Amino acid sequence: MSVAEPLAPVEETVPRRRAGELLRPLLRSPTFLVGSAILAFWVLDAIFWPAIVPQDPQALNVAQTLKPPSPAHWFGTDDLGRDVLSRTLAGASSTLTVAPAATALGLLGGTLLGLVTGYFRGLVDDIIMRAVDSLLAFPLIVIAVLVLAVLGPSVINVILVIAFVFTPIVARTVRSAVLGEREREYVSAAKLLGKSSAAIMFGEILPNITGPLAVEVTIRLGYAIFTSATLSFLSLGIQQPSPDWGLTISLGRAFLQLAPWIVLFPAAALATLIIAVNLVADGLRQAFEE
Amino acid sequence: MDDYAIHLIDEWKSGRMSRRALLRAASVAGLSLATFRSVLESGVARAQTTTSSATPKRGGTLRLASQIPSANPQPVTASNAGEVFTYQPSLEYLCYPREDWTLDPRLATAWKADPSPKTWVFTLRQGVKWHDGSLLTADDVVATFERLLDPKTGSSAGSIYNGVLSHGNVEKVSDSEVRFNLDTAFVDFPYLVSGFAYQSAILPKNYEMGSFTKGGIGTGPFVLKQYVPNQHATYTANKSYWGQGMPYLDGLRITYYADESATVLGMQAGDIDVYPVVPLKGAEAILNNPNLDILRHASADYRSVHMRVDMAPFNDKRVRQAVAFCLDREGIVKSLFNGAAAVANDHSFAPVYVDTELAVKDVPQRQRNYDKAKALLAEAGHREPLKVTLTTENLLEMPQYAVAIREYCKPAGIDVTLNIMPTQQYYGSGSNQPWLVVPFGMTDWAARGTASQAIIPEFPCKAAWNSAHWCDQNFDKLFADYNAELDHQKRQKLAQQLAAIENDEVPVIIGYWIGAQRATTKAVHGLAAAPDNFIDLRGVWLA
Repeated sequence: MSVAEPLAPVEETVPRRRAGELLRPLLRSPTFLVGSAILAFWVLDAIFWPAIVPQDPQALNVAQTLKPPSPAHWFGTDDLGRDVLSRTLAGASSTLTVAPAATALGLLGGTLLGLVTGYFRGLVDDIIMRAVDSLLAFPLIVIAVLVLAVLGPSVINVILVIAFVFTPIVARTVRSAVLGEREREYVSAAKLLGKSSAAIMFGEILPNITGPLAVEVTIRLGYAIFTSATLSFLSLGIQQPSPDWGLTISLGRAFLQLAPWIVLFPAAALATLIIAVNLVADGLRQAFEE
Repeated sequence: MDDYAIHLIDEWKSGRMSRRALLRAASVAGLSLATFRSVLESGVARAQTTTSSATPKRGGTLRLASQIPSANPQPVTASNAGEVFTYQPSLEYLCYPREDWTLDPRLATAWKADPSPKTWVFTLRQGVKWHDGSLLTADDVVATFERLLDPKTGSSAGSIYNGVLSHGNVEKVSDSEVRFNLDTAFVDFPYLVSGFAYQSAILPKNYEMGSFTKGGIGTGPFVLKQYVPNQHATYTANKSYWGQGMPYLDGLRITYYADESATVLGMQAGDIDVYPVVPLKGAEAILNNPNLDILRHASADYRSVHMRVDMAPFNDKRVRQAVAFCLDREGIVKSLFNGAAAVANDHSFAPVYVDTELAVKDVPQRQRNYDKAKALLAEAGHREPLKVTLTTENLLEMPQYAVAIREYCKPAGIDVTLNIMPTQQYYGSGSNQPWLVVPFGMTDWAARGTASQAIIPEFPCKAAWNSAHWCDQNFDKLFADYNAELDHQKRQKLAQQLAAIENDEVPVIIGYWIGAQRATTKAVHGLAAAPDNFIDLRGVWLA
């Protein structure tokens, strides 16, 4: 205890930023605000779509196939006479389940790896980072396609695959951030206090790298949405009869010249969601840089 | 004219047999169609579904699209349309299906069965030359069939001849005659040596497995010059072809396309003259193109929605019937095929096949009836929603059909979960072949030459691809009688009985018969619209 007393103020020197300090530049950033608004719309839609869709997104109507947009069907109908507006609204839920889940898992794995390698350095760092480097040498989508071709398409597999390919990317970002932090005084102080490595990594360093981590999460989320849609498009992801956007675009492309609305609306929805996430990422990055 | 021919003419004159049925029956029996046509065509114009009847023009190279052959193309082991399209311009069959499902004599000029009909003798065309100049012999024909029937060659024709013809039972009678000693009486046998048994193309007796693509093998109108896997194949006209004045074209080029969208784009871009099998879903852009001709014909491709009769809940016939009663068949035909398919009735006797008129007419068409479906489920003790998983392949319109089945079943209290696999995974191999084991599955079946040919691999107790695991001794016995019955009227009656059993037992749901459609440029003439899974190019010419 006697050693601890004079060092107690160290806690105060930790360069952790208060939430308020972050919020102010964010609220002033039009980039962040526009992005958040669109993202919020899609998140709310993904949760509450059963209450807002005008029709059952799965209901067939063989008398109304491939009908162009009209007052009865704002976004037209598809080849089975299903309402494209309802399917576009319902399609957000699969994307916004898979992408955040995959990002969260990838974040968890990547943060663990990044903290361990960055904090301990040495042989552990060398081995893990070389493995990470070799994984990063493969294009993301190639790995995903290979793994899914072996495991078979399913929602769980898509989440696991995206998380798997994100892990090394997150690990590298986290490791760089940790390398900067581990030499800081508050870390030395914590070591002097006799805190365990785990406590220092998770209790001291982690809270101080939330900035780059938050930016990384939003960027990854954008990529996860894109990857999940791509895998659905390649028939390796979410399967029928889901109104998933990537899947709908894939099925609808046969009708592109005849009934472009089947593809157009889910593609536009997908684009707005990815742009929104990227705007939020940009806004966050600017706020942290200020 | 022999007794049977006179009997057929009488049947037709009395109105008991349609003109089409008469021609078919005559062609199966190997009777001279010229005789029949002269009787029939007094004042009756023949239906003209091919692209032209004008005087053929010579020259030009036809550009044909095909899917990529999945293996080195040769008849013995062929299993996909890409392989078949690659060897059919060069190779020929004993007989070949015409557009109306009758048989045209090709390398055989006539065929005749004994009254049983268990023994068939085919008379070979004389003076037919191989591309290397040597003469076609009866030995070549015998060797071709023995090769197909030999289990050691790994032939893909096993399912066709299973229980009908065995190894060692094809013999040379003379230089111009070959005899087939069947395992069982089989009226439709000529169809099994026609293009409908696409593996039965005649090869030289000394054919070396895998050597077809080296080129120069065949008796057909076109000589294969070059085969580049995954890219293209080129052919030149066979100058010594036996068919009078044919072929009209100088040559042929087949381009392989990886998928339907690429083929549609190729057709729109003007890179292709003939798209032989246009999917009924996904090619709408070319179907509405005024610069192209679309040839349409009834056909009998179908999707077999099987329900395993040896596993709950489908071991109860009432549950199988309930599912069948949920389908809005007209709705499916309209939405999936824009009407270019015909409603089917859960039995194998497609209207396009020979001797099926009575089966089509007299077995009441199953219509959507939710009251009946619910009542059947209740009788079977299913008061709670019934949960089942429908497994199928990601091919053509099948996922959409599966989605439709799922929606149609909902109101009856049947909760269908879909499991849509890549085609290769669905078929699998060895001990892992989901399509043969899943309790509730949907598989693509191509049109056959006859109902009997369609039934053999799927419905008898010992059928090789009996996905429903259905076995009905009465059905098998009637089916044997049907295959042995030469009399047209009796055969129709038997067909009707067989259809009624399939319809009542519902081992599989057959919801629709898909029509054939081809797309050609306006310059293409003389091409038959059907059967669309094959192609006969000897009479084709370019304007």
